[in-house]
Amino acid sequence: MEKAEWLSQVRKGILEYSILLMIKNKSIYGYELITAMNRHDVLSTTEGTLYPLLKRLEKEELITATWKETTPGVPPRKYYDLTTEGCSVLDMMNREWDCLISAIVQIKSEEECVSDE
Amino acid sequence: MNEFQLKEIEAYLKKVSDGLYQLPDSERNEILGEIRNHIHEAVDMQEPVQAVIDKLGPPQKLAQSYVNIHYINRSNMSFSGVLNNMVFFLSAGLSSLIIVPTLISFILLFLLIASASISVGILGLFTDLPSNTGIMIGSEEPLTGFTALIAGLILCVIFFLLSYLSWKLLKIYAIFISRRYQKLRMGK
Repeated sequence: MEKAEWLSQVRKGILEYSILLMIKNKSIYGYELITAMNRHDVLSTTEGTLYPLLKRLEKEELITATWKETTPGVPPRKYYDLTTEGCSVLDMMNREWDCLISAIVQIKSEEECVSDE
Repeated sequence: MNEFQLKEIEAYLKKVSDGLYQLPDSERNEILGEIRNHIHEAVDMQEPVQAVIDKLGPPQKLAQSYVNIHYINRSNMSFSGVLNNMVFFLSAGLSSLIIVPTLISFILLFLLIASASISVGILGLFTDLPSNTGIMIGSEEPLTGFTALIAGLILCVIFFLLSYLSWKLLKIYAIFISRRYQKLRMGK
């Protein structure tokens, strides 16, 4: 399996999770979000994926948007925040994420034991 | 930002907008507003306009991703949703079966009568028409000469207008059906 193919499969679910995490930290607008995301090579994504994804999260009422005028001459920014529902979904994701990681860690350690024998 | 860059940005947004034609105005404007801001922010950070646009991807594809999300969230497969669909397609299907052919035959029939009237009118200029043609203007005498031509012209205009009216009705009916269909898809 190609690295790119595997990463794109894994990223699909994680992208939503990381977006919610970033929005939880502070109100954030699209350009800032994608710039922050692309700082991590493994999470880097395209605008064409990210913006529609934000729209979906907004429709699902996990995030909510406010338009803010900032710099003169620049069109207003659309800032995102988590809704109450978004917060509880994120809490659920945090718990499941920990379970997922410990499951993987456990599987890997078992494998090591087998290879040690 | 110079005028050429602004034009480039707006041309891209226009194409995205075209791809979003099915969405309600408010939603479309919100999407375009966000993308417009994105491009301006990026260009302010010294990214070239064309590079920013390339990263956003083909406008039609970007629009399609938004449209897909719009319909996924509104997919109306509940009992009442399915019932609404059935009522719409049955009523629209049955009414179209009658209304559309009727209006089309009206259009053709009236056009035919209109052209017949003018032909008979012209014919009347040169020869005597049968005696019963006078009935059209309440006279016992057959129509001759210019009277025939004028009567023919008037009838031609009347039937042409009737034909045009039928055409208009057909258009109104088609628009009405497509509006109802769009509303149904939007889940309103």
